[in-house]
Amino acid sequence: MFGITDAASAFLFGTKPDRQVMNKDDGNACSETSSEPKVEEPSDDNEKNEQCIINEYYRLSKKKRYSLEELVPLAALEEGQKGKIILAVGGRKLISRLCDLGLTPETEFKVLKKGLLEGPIILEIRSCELAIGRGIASKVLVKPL
Amino acid sequence: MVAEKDVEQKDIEIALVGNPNVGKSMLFNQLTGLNQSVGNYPGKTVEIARGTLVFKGFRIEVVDLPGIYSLSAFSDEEVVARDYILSGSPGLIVNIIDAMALERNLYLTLQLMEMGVRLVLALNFVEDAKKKGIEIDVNSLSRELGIPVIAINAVSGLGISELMAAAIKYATAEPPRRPRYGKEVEMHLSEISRAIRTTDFGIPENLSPEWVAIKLLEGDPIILERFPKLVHLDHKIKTIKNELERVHGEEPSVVIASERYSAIHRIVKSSSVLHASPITTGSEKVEALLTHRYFGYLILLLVLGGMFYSIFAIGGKISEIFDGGFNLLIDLTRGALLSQGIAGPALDLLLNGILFGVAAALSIVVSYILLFYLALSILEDTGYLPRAAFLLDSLMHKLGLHGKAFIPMLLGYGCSVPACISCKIMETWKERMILGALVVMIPCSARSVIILGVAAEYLGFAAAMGIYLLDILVVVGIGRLLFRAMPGESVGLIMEMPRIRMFKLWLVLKKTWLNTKDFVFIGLPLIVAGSFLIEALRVTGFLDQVVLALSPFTYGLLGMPVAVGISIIFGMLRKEMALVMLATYANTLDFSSIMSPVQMAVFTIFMVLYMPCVATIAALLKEYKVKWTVFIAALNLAVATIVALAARLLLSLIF
Repeated sequence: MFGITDAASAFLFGTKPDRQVMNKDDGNACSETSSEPKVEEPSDDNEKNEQCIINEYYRLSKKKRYSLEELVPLAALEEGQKGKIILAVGGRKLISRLCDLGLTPETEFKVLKKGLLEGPIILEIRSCELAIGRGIASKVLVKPL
Repeated sequence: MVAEKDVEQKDIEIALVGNPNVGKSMLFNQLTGLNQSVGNYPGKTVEIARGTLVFKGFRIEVVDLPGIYSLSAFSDEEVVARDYILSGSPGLIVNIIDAMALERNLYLTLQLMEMGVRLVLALNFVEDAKKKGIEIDVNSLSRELGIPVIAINAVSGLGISELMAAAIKYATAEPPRRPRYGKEVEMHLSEISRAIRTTDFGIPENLSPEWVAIKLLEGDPIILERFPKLVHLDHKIKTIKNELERVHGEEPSVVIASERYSAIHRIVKSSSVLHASPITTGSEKVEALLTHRYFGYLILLLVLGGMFYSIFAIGGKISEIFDGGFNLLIDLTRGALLSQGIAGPALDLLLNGILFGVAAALSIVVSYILLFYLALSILEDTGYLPRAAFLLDSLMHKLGLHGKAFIPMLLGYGCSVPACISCKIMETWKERMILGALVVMIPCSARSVIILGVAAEYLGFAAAMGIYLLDILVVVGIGRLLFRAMPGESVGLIMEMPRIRMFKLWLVLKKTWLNTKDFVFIGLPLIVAGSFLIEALRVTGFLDQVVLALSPFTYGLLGMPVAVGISIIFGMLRKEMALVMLATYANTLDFSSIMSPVQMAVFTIFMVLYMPCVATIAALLKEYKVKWTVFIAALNLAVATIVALAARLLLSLIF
């Protein structure tokens, strides 16, 4: 009886067992190379295997002129801080959306607002204002300026 | 527009393409006035509006394509726009761009140029840009791009005649050539396009081989689907992609995007001046306040509260007056018909069936739906919706949804019809479908009457609250289930924050009218047919038999009295009638005399979840088409049965 209610509450509120499932999915996604199209894009819920992101950061940054030490996730910048986009980790659809809206590598931007409680981040980029979910913002590596 | 009647009328078709929030629909309305029709693109739920105008002896058909940021074919809107442009049907594209966000807007322009289509740029918001310190030299922009650029003001209509003249002039000209990208990329592009030109891959004449080459390099998801023979180039493409990735350290699609943006940067730099100290304008101060971490929420509360209050206060009043008027009309008609010697079943059918149905439908439409559409159009046109979504995003994430989903959910507690309609504010089709299935399960005010009239009255306040809570749990659970089970991608929240601006009353009114009209066409016949059917059943004495026929379900499965069948039948028409009809049918106002406490709980739970009313079904049909509407209704019925059955079994164990 308790097993059922546990499972049900886990399902409803996304506690432990739920996260295990998410991690398994993300693990699969991570093992693919980033140029392969992925069917399921991880949403910006960001219950993500952090090691996977870090590995991907490492792989991508090796091709760049930047060392991983000077880069931080976009989500780590404070309000009013400026930065430069260096790379993004994610599936084809996410990368393509970011590019379409002007977040291409080497583009400078400014953080205007950070939402309360892990809310989205508003950026000023190419004289437009964009809101980006916190999950996506932690998959974009930037160089603070 | 001057309408000139010419004997030799020539036809041109132009398509309007542009980013969202650049004044595209404003321009479309300036061009075509009231000569327009809105329809869905075949097989897709993307709306395309068409209109015609006559200008200098030309009959110009204007097609308003959905607002898009790119032609990368990752969303339905992009696929529809791309297919339409490639179909060769528009003779010329009018690309509307926002002078205040020139770089981002020109990204789409460059993609259009890659396609090799004839193009005229309409530069909107030039005055606003000047106020912000951005001065654009239209002539040099036109020269740099190799495309005619016309400065317009979509609000006042300034420059629109020049725009149409340019459209006619260039509709037969050579298409412009796209800007050159980096040497590396150009070399690979010409290599691939040469291969495409020399071999027959079944690609139509009008498609630029260079464009196909760019799409292949980008790894476009659709191009291979359309032209499967291109698979023969697979090996070559892979080698080139690897080479590009090795040299640039980026994926080829990112390389191409960067190339486009650097070409744009070059063009913008040589044709516009940015003054050093842009002034903070009044609207910028408002924007900062609307997303403020404390004041933002206060304003949100005021806006939503005010919207709800005015819709339900004004709507309630209108509906009262309306119902009063219709009751009077029904009485008068009854008198008139009786004096004509019409009585009995025919009279009942006419009055209770048809006239009552019309009254019910119109009173919902005029009092709530019209007002709701009005409020939604205003929130949309002022640019407030993205702000609300920004503020509520983290809260809705706890429920597995995104920020914007809050508004339909909240509306659901008022009336399911506007709640279903407002689901269209979600960006992706998947989110829209899931939210549509969820909002109909939220107890609307009519269902609150049942909860309060049965559960709160006889079982106590705690039981009523328990049912509300149970409903929330069911909605969250089903929501999570649907998100997992349904195919389709979601990329999380990436949205533009458009500038806050004053809405244009005539545009808002027009939008409201078009939406309401659509609803009336679907909803009115359904509601009238429904009430006619039930009245016909009653008059012919079949109603009892239907109620009895439901007994294996109501009595056998759920253990409720047979009489509640009447509530189930009338609840499909209007939920608030469910209790009244039960009282009449069972001939008592004391429900405890016909139902035990457990039965009452099961009854309330079932009635809250079991099926959207006819008006809601009409709204679902309008927004979601038949298949998904049937699915939602079936889902509700299944969920209601399962939850009610579980409640029956659990409660009878305890009591």
